[in-house]
Amino acid sequence: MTQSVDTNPDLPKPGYWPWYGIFCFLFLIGSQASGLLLSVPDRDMGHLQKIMYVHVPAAWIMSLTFVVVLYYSFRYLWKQQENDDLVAASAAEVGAAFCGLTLVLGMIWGKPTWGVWWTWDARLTSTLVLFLIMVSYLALRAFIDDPHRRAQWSAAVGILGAINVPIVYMSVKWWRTLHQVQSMPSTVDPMYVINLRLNAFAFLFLMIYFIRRRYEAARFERAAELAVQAAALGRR
Amino acid sequence: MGAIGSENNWSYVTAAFIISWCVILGYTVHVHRVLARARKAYEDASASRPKGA
Repeated sequence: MTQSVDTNPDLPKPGYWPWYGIFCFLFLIGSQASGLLLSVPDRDMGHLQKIMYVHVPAAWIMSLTFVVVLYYSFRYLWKQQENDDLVAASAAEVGAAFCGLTLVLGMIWGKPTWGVWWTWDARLTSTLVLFLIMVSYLALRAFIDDPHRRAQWSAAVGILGAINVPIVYMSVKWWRTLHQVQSMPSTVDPMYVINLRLNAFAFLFLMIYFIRRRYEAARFERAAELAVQAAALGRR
Repeated sequence: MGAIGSENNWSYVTAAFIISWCVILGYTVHVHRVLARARKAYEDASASRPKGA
């Protein structure tokens, strides 16, 4: 029998997640303020260096979401559990948002440093390909009604997209690119490392929050679909 | 054109942070709307289901 939202034990409860969301935003405000106000200008780039505190964490989180997509897509194909598909889809949506943000922030950083908004550089192009794959993933889900087929096709596209992540990461080493080498704590000046780490954690916390809440919504959407089907069968 | 690190570049930094916040807040609003709509859809669908079905 279908139960109300609060009494159905199969559906996720908000629990402490709203409070966790508030914590995420406070942490993000603090880390961004620290990056903007306390970080000293770079010798070559001056204040432009501060874009690193949003561009690099967004790129890292984008990559991480695709690892989540990869894991849950394989898990779905192996165990055929619908919840795995819903987690993968939630992560893909969050990943597409962060991927789009990474591209836009890269363009904003590229204009004053390279003199152009966009160039068909290996790093930029491979990131754009990744973004398009994830947009296709989301479009595909909207077009297939059968949940099992939708999950299978999504898993295939999700795995394909995630395979592109190491290519994006290694592109600056494999090809001659305008883009600098990967910004890691080991490749940036030590005085920028703390702020970079703070902002990376802020984006990580936010990613977890977004995926969890989107997954919660996906479970309710699916439960509503099933309840509508059950109601239609009950009326026959 | 001045050095890359000239004061004029604050406009790019400001744009980058504003866009980041717009995306983050925009996505937060989107997720909460989707969640509220999904909960409502589930409640409506449950209510329309005949008892015992």
